[in-house]
Amino acid sequence: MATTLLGVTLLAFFLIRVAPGDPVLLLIGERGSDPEQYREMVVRLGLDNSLIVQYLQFVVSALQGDLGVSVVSQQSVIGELLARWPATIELGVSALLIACLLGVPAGVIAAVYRNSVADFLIMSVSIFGYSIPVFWWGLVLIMCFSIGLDITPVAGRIDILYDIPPVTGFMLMDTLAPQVVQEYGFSAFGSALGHLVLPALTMATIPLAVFARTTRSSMLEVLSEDYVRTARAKGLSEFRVIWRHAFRNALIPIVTVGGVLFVTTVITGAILTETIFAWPGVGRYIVNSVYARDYPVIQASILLIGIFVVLVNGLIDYLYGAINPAVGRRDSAS
Amino acid sequence: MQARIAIGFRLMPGGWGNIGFLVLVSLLLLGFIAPLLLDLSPYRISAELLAPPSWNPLSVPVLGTDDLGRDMFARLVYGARCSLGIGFVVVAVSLVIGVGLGLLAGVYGGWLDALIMRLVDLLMCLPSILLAIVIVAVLGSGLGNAIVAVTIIGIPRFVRVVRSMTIQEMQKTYVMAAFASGSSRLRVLWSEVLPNCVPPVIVQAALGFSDAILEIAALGFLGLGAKPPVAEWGAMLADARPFIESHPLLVVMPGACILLTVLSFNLVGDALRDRLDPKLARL
Amino acid sequence: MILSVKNLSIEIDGKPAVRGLTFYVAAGEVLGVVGESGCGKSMVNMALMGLLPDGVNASAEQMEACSVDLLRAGPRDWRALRGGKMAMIFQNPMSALNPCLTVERQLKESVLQARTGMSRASARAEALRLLDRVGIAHAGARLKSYPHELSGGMAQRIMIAMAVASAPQLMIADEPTTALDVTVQAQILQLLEEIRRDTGMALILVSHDIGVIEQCAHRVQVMYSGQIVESGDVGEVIASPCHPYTRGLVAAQPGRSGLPPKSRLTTIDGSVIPITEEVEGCRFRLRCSRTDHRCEQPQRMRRAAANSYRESRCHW
Repeated sequence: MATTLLGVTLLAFFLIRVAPGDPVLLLIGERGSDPEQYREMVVRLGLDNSLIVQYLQFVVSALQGDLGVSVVSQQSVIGELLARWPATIELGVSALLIACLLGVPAGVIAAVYRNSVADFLIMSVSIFGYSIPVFWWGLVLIMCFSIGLDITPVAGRIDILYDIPPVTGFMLMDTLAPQVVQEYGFSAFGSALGHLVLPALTMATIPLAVFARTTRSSMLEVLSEDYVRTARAKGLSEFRVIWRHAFRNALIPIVTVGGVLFVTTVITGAILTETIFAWPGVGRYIVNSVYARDYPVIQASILLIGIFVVLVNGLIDYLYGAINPAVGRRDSAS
Repeated sequence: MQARIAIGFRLMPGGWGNIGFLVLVSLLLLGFIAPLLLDLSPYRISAELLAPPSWNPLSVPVLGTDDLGRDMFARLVYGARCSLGIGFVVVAVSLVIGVGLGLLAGVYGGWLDALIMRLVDLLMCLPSILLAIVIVAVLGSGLGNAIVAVTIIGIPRFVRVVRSMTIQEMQKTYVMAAFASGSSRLRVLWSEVLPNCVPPVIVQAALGFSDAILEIAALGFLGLGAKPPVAEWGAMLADARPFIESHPLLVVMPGACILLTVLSFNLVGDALRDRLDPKLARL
Repeated sequence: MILSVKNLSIEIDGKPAVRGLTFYVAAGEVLGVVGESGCGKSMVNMALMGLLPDGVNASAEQMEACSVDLLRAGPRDWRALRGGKMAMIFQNPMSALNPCLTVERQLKESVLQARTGMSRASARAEALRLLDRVGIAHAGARLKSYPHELSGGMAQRIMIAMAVASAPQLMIADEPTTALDVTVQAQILQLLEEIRRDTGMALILVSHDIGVIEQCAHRVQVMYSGQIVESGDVGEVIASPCHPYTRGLVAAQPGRSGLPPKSRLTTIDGSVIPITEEVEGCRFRLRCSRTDHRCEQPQRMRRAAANSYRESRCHW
């Protein structure tokens, strides 16, 4: 975990230095580069120092929350990223919830009724979902629901009619703030929810398929275990056998996969989905920064996302221990 | 030897994989043979813009034309060629590098192993699309750089599987015996360890193909990979976006082609995994 | 009769595996079932508990346990029977306990299954009593353990505690000591015998070890390749086996072959033919040392003596 963090910082650090072109120009942008500013930047970045010193400076300033200034907006990068973070998390968490709530039960059903029609259907849908290009799927959903049926909005987080003060940054929460409800009633919340549906569905597709597949294979393995037979021999109802005895054990790989999915869904899904739905989150910001060759932003994004991934992995390890007593006990004993 | 022959016989993946295999073969034929037989050009501009599909295989723009009057069918066919060709290059290069690194890590262990595996962990921990975008951002956008990016991302899967197979095999008695009988390390690797890595590597290659095609298409869609006018499915999709309301088929067709190709590779990969590598069936 | 089975046949994917089993168990009796691995012993147990996996089907003329007609039992009846008058313990106690749940939860589950509506506190008290009953020290602390913290013998004691929670009339013990150390084996067998004596339940004790059967059972039936080949009083069968297979089994026992100590043990040549394979005539013919033309006919169970209930599936 520590080595991965180290690797992430190294990657972010060298990113700018291996890019073809002058790192100073990359960092301050090619537009406003008069010699004065250039020299100032060289000193500020410590580019006259050795690489190791530069790297240490980079890490120290990163620790202090200084990741540079965006070339495009001339604002602090960290501020820009943090301002967009809630939108991405809101979308990612909604997508993962949908995926989990539909995918896991579907996988259980497929495993319990193995080789039935239901199993076949669930597995067919899941391999489709697994193979679908997200960016296309989003467009297809827009075609069906926004253009064809006209029941969902096409883009954004909320209708421009509403003026919602960003308190938490999570639109679903901000629209429920007392003064907002006072002004608009619950229509703002409804609008935010409506805007969330399609992007969340788009993002949920791949994790849903993965959840269903993982759950199924994990359940199939557990269902053939001796303790499931014991549970049946106790005279427990099939429902209890499946959910209390089998499912809990099957959860262990599901949680691991879920964690990995969380990361890939939130980040990968965000990059493509946010671009399609003009969702003002981190993913779209990164893509736009790449278009604008805004290297400080790219550098900071890699760093923050790397840290995020490491944290999520740590959380998964913890959950893993909580579910699996054999692992948890060993850890606490040592 | 026997193992190699057996793999030869098992090339047809079986079950649903066979269907995927047939689809891929027909896509290959379509992409690489059809342009030789038919008069197809993905760039030729006709007077008729945004012509609707005729669905008549005998009339010329079978699937209509795009906003510049280019034959959609021709573009899709060249797109297949593009995706499969790039997929092949990506998988081939990342396979060679990945297998090499995996063998190195597995055989020599120690700091070399640690270094390689840390790099692999780093690559695996960051989401692949993000990594691809960042690599493209560093190298500059364009199809060539997109291919480099996707190739780099494709490496870790091979390293991991080959490394674990190598470590497993090196502990087996017959490998020990080969060493004991005085064979050189390289020889043992080549004749004893590598053949055992073939089944899982084939599986990873099939799955790597589908990932590579998806990623190339995604980069093309974001405008960071193939650039217009190249007939690449992802870029075509991006080009067609403005016509989503008036001519939805322009959007549907390239995406459906990506889906079909990726789905076929996944079917083949799954079937191969079930057949060749039951241990990995859970992953 | 606690259990009576007439002509039980089990098919795996349509292929016959267990062929026409007829046997019974009287109240309070220990029936030993012995045979090599793969002879269908476990499958019969599963059929008796209604736990056959998909693709395996049982049919019988009669199958009655604890005065319930098993042939007509629906899922609800089966469940009531399993958590009530019948119980089962398994070969590998370590994998038969759910690794994610504490002993307390698993034990209380059995207790509550037998007595619905019992309060949590009294269920816990009952669980403690059961642990005590199966000879586990520090029962209170043990309740909080997870299965991976237990030894094999302890796990099997807990399995037994779970099985006796419902005060069953019939317990099926499927190779209960096979996975355990020899010293623990004897303790577990003794525990089972104690519980049987106290509660008067009947016990089907399945083992591939004829020594275990001899030690515990009243009657024995020897199974070979999906058939019963010999049955009778345990002492008589072991003292003078009628079927060549039984003879082989007995002779393969250390210290029983009649040979001087340290000489090679007798073995039965060959191995069990796959249970689903069709054989003309006697199924043991191919491994038997003494065959003639009569062995090419299917063999039926014959009385060994006119006034005895000993039976054997051999014409000699």
